[in-house]
Amino acid sequence: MSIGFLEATKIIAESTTKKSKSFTFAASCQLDKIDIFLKAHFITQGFNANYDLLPFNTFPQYLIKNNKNTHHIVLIFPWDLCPALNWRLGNQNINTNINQLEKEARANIELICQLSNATIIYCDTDIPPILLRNNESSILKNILINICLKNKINIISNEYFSLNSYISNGCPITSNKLSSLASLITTLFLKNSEPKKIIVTDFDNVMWNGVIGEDGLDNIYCDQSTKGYKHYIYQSSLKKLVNSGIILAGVTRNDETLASLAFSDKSMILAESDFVCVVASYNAKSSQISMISKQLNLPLESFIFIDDNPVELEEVMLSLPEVKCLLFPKSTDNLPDFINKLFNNFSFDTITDDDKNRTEFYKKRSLSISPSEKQGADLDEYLISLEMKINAIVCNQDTSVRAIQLINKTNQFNANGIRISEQHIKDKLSDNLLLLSFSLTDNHGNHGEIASILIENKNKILNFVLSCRAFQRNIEYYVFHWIHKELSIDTLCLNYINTERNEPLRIFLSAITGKQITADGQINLDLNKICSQNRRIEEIFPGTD
Amino acid sequence: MSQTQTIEKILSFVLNISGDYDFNSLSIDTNQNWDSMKHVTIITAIENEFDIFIEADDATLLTSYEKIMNYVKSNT
Repeated sequence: MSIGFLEATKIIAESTTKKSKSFTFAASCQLDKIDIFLKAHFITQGFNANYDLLPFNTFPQYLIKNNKNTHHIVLIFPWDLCPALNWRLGNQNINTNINQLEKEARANIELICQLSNATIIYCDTDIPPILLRNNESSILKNILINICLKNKINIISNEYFSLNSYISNGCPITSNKLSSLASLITTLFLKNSEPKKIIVTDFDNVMWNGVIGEDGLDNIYCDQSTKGYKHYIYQSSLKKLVNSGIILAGVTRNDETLASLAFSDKSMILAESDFVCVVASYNAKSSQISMISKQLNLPLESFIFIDDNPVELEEVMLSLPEVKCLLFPKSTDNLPDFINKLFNNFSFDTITDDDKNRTEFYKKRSLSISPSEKQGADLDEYLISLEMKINAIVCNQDTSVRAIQLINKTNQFNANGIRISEQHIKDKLSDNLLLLSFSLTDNHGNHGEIASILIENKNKILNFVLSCRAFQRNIEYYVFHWIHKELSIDTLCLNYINTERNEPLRIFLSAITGKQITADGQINLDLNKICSQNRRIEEIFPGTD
Repeated sequence: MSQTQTIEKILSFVLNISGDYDFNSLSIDTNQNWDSMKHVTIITAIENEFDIFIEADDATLLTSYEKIMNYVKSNT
């Protein structure tokens, strides 16, 4: 995760974090520039970074002193292994050879690795041309990398290096990578001090491509096909983690039977038995994670939560700041970075048989897990920050295609599951039928048409649907606000039929009517009452028509 | 946020400026807080926020609000 400078200042200013992590940040260079980013990244993980920087030019003494009472984060460069490789020295009088340099590097790395309780990062920078024979500079670079790898040192690439910055202010890290480095340091540090033990993963569009409740079992993909490859790689990675003793749990906005059904798909790499538990519920994911934590007796700090929906992640981050949240990438090109970040949270130095059997052990504790119905975090502030805009249109024959598709494809937020032919709707649009379509844009981009509602005689809702991509954003409330305000309608009745999959719609109806909806029938909706339930709707959707 | 707002926010934060302030008169000579360390932080923040790379020679010349504004306008 990269945080910009001003965003970092905001995170620090607004922080209420009380817990601290103390360490010494050691290097032979100036590191003051990273301060604001490091503090911000630690705060996002629930801690204040309370650290000391070495006074300039005291790195060698620091290594010899080796204070065993502190945790060390050490950033090293080629010139810390072979001083002759320091760009700032110039190299006109250096007379050496590759064997001498290797010997020197081995001696220096031994000294550095003697630091107890240390997280060491090596920046593989370009080196000055002190070796003149063909390829010797490249060979030396590889030798230094190999020495670091053998000593379990984390390596960052030359992309992080700026000679300009090193020469002008003593910090060899380029400004645009300071945040990435701070993120890596935070992750590596917390991996050692707060090891992660359990991954909670979302299912739809994470474990597989598609929404099982909308697209059906036959139209979800997690195989080695174009559509499924990203999810195939993700599941393979999770399988590797499970085999190494990491615990896996599933939390999904689905019906329990649907969630289980997915595992009957032969292309699934993970089996249901790889999960310590699968919690299928339409209630807040933070509540489900909290419940899993209690049932398994594992601290929330040991949890990683993965979801493709930023709104779900924000809800968990607000409710459970101790849980590390990772956004499942939209683009396949971002998958390697995501997988690396995920794996960086775990230590695999010694995997025992006990580790490998850990899921079975915890399964015994999780037998009684059933979904929690507790409310999640108040997301209003986050939703306001998304700067959502809704464009509502009254459809005519030309503009009705997507709205009709939504009615005929949506399962979960669908009033009754009744499919209506495109021609039937189009024929009646000019008579007594009103088809409204709602499109969403926010500061992440354009989400397209995400809701439609079909109203007969301005008093009866024949159907009301919302794409699952737009859940939890209060759009369903906005639709009634808009109808009330723009069409001056005060009451509507809705034709509700309980289907196998429309639990989210039933929950919404129960919330807006204030009574548990359990049976099929006409539900009377008082729009005045509904509009008074969410008073911040105009803040959440500013400037919308 | 506009370029002007971003630059003013950076300078306000780094140089601890609050309230109404005449940024047009702000320079390394008129603000005592603007020392060499703060200058490095300002350059770092400008590079980071605008995703640009400022050569060391140029960085040493960016010693006032006006010069920073002109540089960012010309290089973004």
